[in-house]
Amino acid sequence: MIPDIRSEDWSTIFHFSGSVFCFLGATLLIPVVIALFAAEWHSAVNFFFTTSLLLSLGCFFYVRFQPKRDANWLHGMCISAFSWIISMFILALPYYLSHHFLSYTDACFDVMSGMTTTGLIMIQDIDHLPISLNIWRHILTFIGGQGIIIIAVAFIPSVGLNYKAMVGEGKEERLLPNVKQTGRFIWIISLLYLAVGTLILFIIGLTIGFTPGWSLFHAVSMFMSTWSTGGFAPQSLNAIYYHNLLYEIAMTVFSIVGSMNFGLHYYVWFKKRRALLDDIETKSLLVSVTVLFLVMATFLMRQGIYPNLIAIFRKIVFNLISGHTTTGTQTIYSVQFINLWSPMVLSGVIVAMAIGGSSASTAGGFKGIRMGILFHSIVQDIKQYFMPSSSVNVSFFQHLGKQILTDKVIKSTMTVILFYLFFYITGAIMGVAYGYPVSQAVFDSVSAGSNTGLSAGLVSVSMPYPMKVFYILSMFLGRVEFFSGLVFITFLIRYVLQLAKR
Amino acid sequence: MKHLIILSGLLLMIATTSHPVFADSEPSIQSTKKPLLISELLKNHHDWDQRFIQLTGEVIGQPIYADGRVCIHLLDQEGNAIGVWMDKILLTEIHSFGKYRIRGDIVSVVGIFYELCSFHSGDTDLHIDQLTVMQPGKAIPADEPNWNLLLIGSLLMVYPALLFIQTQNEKRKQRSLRFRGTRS
Repeated sequence: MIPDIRSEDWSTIFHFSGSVFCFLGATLLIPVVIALFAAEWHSAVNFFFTTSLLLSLGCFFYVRFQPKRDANWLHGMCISAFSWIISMFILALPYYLSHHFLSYTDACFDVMSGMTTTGLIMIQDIDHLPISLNIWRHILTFIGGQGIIIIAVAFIPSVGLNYKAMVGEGKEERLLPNVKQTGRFIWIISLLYLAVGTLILFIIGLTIGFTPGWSLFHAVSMFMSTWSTGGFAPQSLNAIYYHNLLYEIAMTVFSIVGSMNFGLHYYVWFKKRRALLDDIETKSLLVSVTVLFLVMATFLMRQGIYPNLIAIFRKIVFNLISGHTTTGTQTIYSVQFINLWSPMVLSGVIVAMAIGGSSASTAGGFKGIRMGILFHSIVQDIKQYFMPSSSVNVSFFQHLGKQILTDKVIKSTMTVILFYLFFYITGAIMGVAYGYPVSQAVFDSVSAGSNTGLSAGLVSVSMPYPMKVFYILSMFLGRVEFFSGLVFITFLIRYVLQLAKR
Repeated sequence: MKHLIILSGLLLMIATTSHPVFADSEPSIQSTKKPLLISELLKNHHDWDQRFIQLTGEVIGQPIYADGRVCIHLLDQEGNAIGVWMDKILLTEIHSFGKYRIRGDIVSVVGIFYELCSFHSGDTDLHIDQLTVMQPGKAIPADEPNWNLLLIGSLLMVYPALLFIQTQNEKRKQRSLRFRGTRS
């Protein structure tokens, strides 16, 4: 029996969500300043209006609704879901007002795609986009990658949001004893990498003939896109635009680093370097990338379409890593996934996307740790048959220290994997029902649910409206790993039933 | 790790013993000239592979230099773009590259389309030797700002601004009270 929803539950959710809105409103001042510098008056006004709306709504919620008691797990989950959903609707305003979207739903789709670091797009005419809007798309991905709750926890002094809200956003690692310190650490890591990564891409940009301003714009955008495993790009050609091996290598490295657990970054930086190689997620990534690469290379060589081994290696490595880290930048055209690559090669990318990156990182998918746990549990079960019936078989795995593989861990792992599979399959069935080819429907559905952003051409403005809504939901639930979204939906249903009873 | 190495070996064996490994290194080029849309080209990329084509589009972004040649990008009205490799000398023909508030030169190019180019690591591109500017680029008038939104935004900003001032005043009062407390 679920207990009754009380007004103080709503107050707690509104109060903490208010601080998240305030923070998002403050970050929107960045595109306002950029727009003013670039004399993009139309964009400046649109961003200023959205900033004002978010700040006033955030302040109102924060002041008017006081939390009556400490936030519990229910509140943590609902704060996360509520903030994400309302933020999507408000942040879609400057997108829609820019006239680069055909409908408000498309604008919401792009905002959710950015916040969840998916990278699927509905935007029109990217190549003529105002710089402020173009950079904001990438900043939003960057913020979404680290987590909007974490950012609020880290930088707003008076926010009493706690660990439960962070878990609601899919960030489960406690790196430091204090939640605020954890949030700050995540942001310090990200900003340090931002500085180094931007510098590297900036220099490469100069070597291929970009002007300094253009190179900096692309460097900032592409670093934020790849580090946060987002997949957006400042040009419609995405990563195809650069035609440069060094740019591709840099983007691939940033994607891998970004898709690693923040906890692992902390361990490697401050505790022991060896943790990187011992960790179950690193091993899982290494094994799956190697196996998938070999399968894809084998079948692409059998197809005999690429001119040489270097071309095969370059195309597979970039697109496979992009899919596996759920980044979504691509060096082949969307239509070519279906028209050029055989179903077996395509399956390699689909499996990579479905698995995704590491837990508590910027990446999506059902995560390497769950693949590792699944593998360990199968091995443990098989081993059990060879042991005497009286023996107790205990299995361990390395993840930020030695962990015991318990039934509870296996059960929760299986539950999350099943949720992901359910959304992947439902999206695919929906696509097929609307008349899309099976391979295309499966590819794009997995891409949305795992927050990857690679597309085989299904996602476009002409996509049926129910599919757009489903994909938005799929991106959101995939990002928060289902529970906070499902808890919030249950919370709403319970509240409506309660009202109806009265 | 051992298992991975064995698996790699097995798969590579399958790959090398199977029939086709790479595409023909010396393609036969058919001289077929037909004006095309980029979207049409990308949709039926296999049909146009290694054939002479004529393409029209807007030049966007900035040129990229590599191996003594230059790559520009053409965009069609449907939002599809493609990389076009050419001699540096042809770049002097282009005066305007499309970006925000600027419509780039609309050019017509003639060259060979490569579905998977052997010179550029399997990229889909076009190698041209003829470029004609059909329509010079121009400035696009910027959208007028919506002044009503500015007004509403300013009004909305009053509330957080007042709250901020109030919080600062309270903090100052508390600080002065604490200061008095320590003095007494």
